Amino acid sequence: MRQPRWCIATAVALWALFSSAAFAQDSASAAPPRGSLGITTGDPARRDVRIPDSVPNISGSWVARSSNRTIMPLDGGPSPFLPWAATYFDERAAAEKAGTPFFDTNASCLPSGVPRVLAVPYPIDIVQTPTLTVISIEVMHSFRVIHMDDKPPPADYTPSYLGYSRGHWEGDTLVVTTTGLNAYTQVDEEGRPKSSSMTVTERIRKVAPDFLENTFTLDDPNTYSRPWTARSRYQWAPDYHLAEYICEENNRNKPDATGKLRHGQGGDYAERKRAATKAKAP
Amino acid sequence: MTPRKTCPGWAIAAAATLALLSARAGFAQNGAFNSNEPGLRARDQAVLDQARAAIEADRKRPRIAGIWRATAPATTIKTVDGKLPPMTAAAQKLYRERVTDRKAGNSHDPLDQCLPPGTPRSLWSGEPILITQAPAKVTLFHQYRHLIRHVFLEGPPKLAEPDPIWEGHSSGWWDGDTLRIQTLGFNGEQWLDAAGLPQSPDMKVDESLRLLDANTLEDTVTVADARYYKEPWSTRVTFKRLPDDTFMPEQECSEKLLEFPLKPYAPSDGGTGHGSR
Repeated sequence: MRQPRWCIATAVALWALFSSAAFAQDSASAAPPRGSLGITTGDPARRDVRIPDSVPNISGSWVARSSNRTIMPLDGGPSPFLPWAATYFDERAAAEKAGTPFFDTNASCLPSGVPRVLAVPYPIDIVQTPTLTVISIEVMHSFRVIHMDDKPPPADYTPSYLGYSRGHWEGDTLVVTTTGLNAYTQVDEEGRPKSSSMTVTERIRKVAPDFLENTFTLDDPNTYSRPWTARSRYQWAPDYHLAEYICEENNRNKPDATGKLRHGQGGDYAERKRAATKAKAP
Repeated sequence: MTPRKTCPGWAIAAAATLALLSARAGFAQNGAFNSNEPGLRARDQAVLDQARAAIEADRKRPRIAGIWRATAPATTIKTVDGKLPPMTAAAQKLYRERVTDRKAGNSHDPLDQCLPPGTPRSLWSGEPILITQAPAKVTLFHQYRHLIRHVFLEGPPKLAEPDPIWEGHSSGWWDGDTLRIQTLGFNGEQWLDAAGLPQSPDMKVDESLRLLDANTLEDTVTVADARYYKEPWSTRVTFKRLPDDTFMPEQECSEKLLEFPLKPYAPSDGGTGHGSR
């Protein structure tokens, strides 16, 4: 049955009105209460009691409400690849499609690194101490140590998967700057590359009583033509305990000397164990 | 039939319902659900009230928070009397095989495959351990292979049938000035030391941590595992406090299992700009 145009217009307007009302409500709750008065600022029993109430509390368990396959620019635009990065990204996609994926540190039970771990779909646990904020990430039992005293890295610092992080509070926002990343990881699983020159700046804050948001900016002039920003979200999960995650138990996609992945072969603890048991059998 | 020129009530109602539904969906997508739930404030208040007592209690406790390191790192464990633990015949057989295998260069120590040592083996690594202390949870962050042990202070473990895992399930509580931690639910695969002291899935580990002075922490560990040990036995490890700003570099055991060196991606790092296949 056909309806007059204004009728459809009214329906669309209603939809838009209610939807935007919801968004408005969302942004209205964007200013969380300060201090430790109210669980809405974190779990008061899960951070060091020496921390003053004036420091926002984000301690406790959080489950990710984002996925890591792709870390996309928040503005919806394309990733601002430099030419080499665009070529790499396309080559990687083609290789994956052809069933001969490129090596990835994950294939050898090595960490995804920062920034990729910022958007993995695994739960996290935050512990605040007077000088550190420690973020445990369930996948591959990683933990990031954020130095809250602005101490520079030691002179003999070696670039690493998670890098060297310094943090400070700007109002209700934890601002974390990470440098010292190694050259062996990518931005995301899909294969946006990065160099060791990347600086990652995270802005972590509560956007609702149960929600933590991490808006992070990637600045890597050797890979991207301009800094770009992405976002991940976490929901408060007070009863969740991070589970044991042991990649090495089934480290079976190890690449060979040419870097080619050997699916289901080698390095598998369970296979070694079976072989040993077999050898010992009468 | 000529279409009516008015908008029927049911169309408006349907549009409004759809709009409300999508508004709720928008809420969910936008990640703000629950924020206006009426029960939320009450729940917050209840949790906060509960936490207050725990916070006040924790303020009076010894501070084991800090960075610690075992004073006498070891690869083999002896009891507090300096003896071999009292193994059953089954354990002795396994132990002898493992010692012989290692001598022959054919050890199957799970640690060599970068599998987690579990408790108590991790305590003797000799590398810094960051201990954080909160009213409801103590966490041990090891520099050694970035192992983590979250110990919720919920009393002895209540798991009837724990999921068997490498590191076991730890739960703790304060007994005066002593932090007690009990761990169970091991998978029975790990060795308790490099020589090859075995564990079974029945193993229970009971720890008592206490400060001997502000800079000395002692962990007395009692292992009970009737399948492999004639009686529960105890061992002890002592830690010295390191400066609070001790840097703990990342340590990736699995790098040593790689059969080729890691290659950089970016040309600026000396990479080719192409991936390895």
